[in-house]
Amino acid sequence: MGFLVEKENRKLYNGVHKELSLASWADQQGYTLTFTHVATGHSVEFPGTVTSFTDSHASELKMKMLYKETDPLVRTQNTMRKISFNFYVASASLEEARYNEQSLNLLMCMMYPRRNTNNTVAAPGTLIRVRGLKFINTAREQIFVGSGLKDTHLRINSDGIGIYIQSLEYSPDTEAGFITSKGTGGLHGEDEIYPARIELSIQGDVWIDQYTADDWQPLPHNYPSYR
Amino acid sequence: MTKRTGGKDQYSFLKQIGDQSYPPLIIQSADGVVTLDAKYIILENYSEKYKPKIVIEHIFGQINPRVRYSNTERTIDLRFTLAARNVHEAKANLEYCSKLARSPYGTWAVSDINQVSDRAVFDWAYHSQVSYIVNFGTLLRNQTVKVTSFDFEINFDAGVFDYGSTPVSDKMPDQVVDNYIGGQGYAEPSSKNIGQLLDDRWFSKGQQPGATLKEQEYVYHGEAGAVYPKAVSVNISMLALHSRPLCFGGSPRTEGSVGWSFTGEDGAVSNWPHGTGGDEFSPHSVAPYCQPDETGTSLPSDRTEQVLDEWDAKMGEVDTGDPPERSLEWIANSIELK
Repeated sequence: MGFLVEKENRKLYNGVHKELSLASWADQQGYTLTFTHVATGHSVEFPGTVTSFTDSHASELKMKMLYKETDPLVRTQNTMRKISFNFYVASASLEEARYNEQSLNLLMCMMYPRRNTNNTVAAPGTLIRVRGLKFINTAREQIFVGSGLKDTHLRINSDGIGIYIQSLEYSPDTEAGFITSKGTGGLHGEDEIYPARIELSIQGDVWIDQYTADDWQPLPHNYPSYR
Repeated sequence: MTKRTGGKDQYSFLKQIGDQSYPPLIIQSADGVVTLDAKYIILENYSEKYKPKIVIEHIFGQINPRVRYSNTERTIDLRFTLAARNVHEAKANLEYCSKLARSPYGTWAVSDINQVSDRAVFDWAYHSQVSYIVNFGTLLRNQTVKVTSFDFEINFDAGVFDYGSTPVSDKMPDQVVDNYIGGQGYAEPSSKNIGQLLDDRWFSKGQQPGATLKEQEYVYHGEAGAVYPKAVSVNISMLALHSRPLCFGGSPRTEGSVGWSFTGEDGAVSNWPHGTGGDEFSPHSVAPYCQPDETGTSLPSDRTEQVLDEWDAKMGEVDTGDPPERSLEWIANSIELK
């Protein structure tokens, strides 16, 4: 029996040019974005270079207008939460560019599900958990310890907010230039070309983690947590 | 192997930079019928979009909807400028764009021929949309696509190559004096205009620059009514196609494996979607999750280190001069994965 490919937990760049890299700053500040593919456990980290963030909560209401009544009868059909954010990945050397490109490869592969050997899609499909910079996170589950509240993750997934990504866009910033190496592209000998700065744009529907708290409500009392 | 050079009919400055540093854009139809020149392009924009197609079904009273995945759509947009330093290159750029503009169209076959009075009327049946194979360095490696749109734009602000209507002598400046006829002055000037003269000189050298016409001097042409733009922009949108199912695990993998299903064309071990360079021992060459589950050439990272250490130790036992290349074949033969 040979080995099986196991889950990969890809960290920030930590190579010889790290002092020139955003990874150094991200490590120092604790500013990281972590994406975890739930079905496989693969995860990948990037510096937390978020340039925009939007979180929308919208309910779909069914309204019935009644004769002589000012207000309609309202019934909520569902409430959806959608998230979108942009961040960028910058490289300061050829080595870092190769590393970052491979990290981005893993992120793009996460747009596909895990399948069983009979090719059926394994649950939960393309669900990805994202964590970073506090405002991209799950609600904090807190318990009283001694005299104060303390974070715990007994019932809430600590890998971050669950998102079904609807769109991921990979856009090199051509103004920032490219890092190139002619004819050195590994097994295929292709010309290497890496954008010095790549914009990533993500939009998706949030999967809401729920549990029954002391108030018998499925949503945690501090949902959604932005701090 | 991907062709590494391009620049046919492109001016030397751009060709030199491309040959030294940049990958050419290579597009050809999957059936090999249409092959465009490998061009060095000035990349203006590149983007890849991944859209997992999921069906979201809301259930009354439930916080989360029911989600069903169907497939992931991958599209690629490419915008680039083709610049020209002379008339010849401007014409080549336009010809290139003409060929590329055909790519979003399908192919048709004659389904029926009817005779109407004295002429034949053809009925055409749509046959198929042509697939193209695109190469652009590590970003696009033998990527099969359907071209969904092509936009062509002339940048008039960059200028155009005009028709050269000014009459000129077809002699070089140092030859003009030879036309002096004593007592009668200079001979009648040629009836040629400067555009025709430059065309003649260009074609007389096999459409190459020469002593009488340098690369940057071919700036007028002899075709009245025509203008050739110095810069054109092209925007193509493509839908990426893949010969193997894309997922983690799946039927190509052993049960329990979370490796990437796609292992490159012809079964070669490869990163996806972009190449990441390095030699075969580089940690960037092929990601662990893209490695096969069980082969002699696929090693978990700790085992790789062990084998490489053994190789180095073996080489240290004998003085072989320059250190030899580590042979993947030797390593594969030297171990047995249990």
